[in-house]
Amino acid sequence: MKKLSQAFDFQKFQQNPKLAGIVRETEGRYAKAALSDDDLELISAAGVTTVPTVHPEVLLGRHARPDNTEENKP
Amino acid sequence: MDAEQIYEEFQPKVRAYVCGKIQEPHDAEDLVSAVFMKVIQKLDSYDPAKASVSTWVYTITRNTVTDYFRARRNMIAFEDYMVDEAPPELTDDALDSLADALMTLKEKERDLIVLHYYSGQTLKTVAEMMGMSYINAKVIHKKALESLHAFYAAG
Repeated sequence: MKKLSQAFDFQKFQQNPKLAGIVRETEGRYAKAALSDDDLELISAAGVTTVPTVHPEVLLGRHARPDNTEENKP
Repeated sequence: MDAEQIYEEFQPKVRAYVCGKIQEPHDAEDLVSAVFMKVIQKLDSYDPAKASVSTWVYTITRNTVTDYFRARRNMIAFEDYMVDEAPPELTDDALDSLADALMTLKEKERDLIVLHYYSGQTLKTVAEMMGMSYINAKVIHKKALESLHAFYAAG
């Protein structure tokens, strides 16, 4: 098992194309459900998001998006 | 190979490995530089009989990253005591063989091995990702390792 871990770690450096194809295919099949322990250590407490913010009212469907059609212009 | 040739050839690989492990871009850049400083310092003592240039540079890179994480945890840096030698079986041919071995596995076994050993997920998380029980994941893991062992034993 240790040799397998070593080999895959070396792959992150060497980027053997045959093995990279297998990894890409596998990782493409699964959404990242959780971060690895190494990743968790590197996340700051504040966190940073690049997701564009949407007003909560829009998310809840309480306000329709602005309607810019000719008939509805003031 | 001289230092400049090594830099030209391995800088992308070192960068890809370091950036895959370290999120902070400035730290990652510093570490890439540190790796090649060590390569230059140790070039005279590099023994091609012990490992390929690729394996040697990889080992320095891996040790530098490990040292970085240890320093962040406020432990004593073991840099001077780390052996700059990787197991001789870490070669591109070995990775080719591993790819061939993985292709002999069933898809679920292969996926489990990749998610656990490459992506670094625990077996519990892999089980959740693959929609199976933890016990089932352990059974598949064991079968996959036995199949890989059999592949290598068959030569």
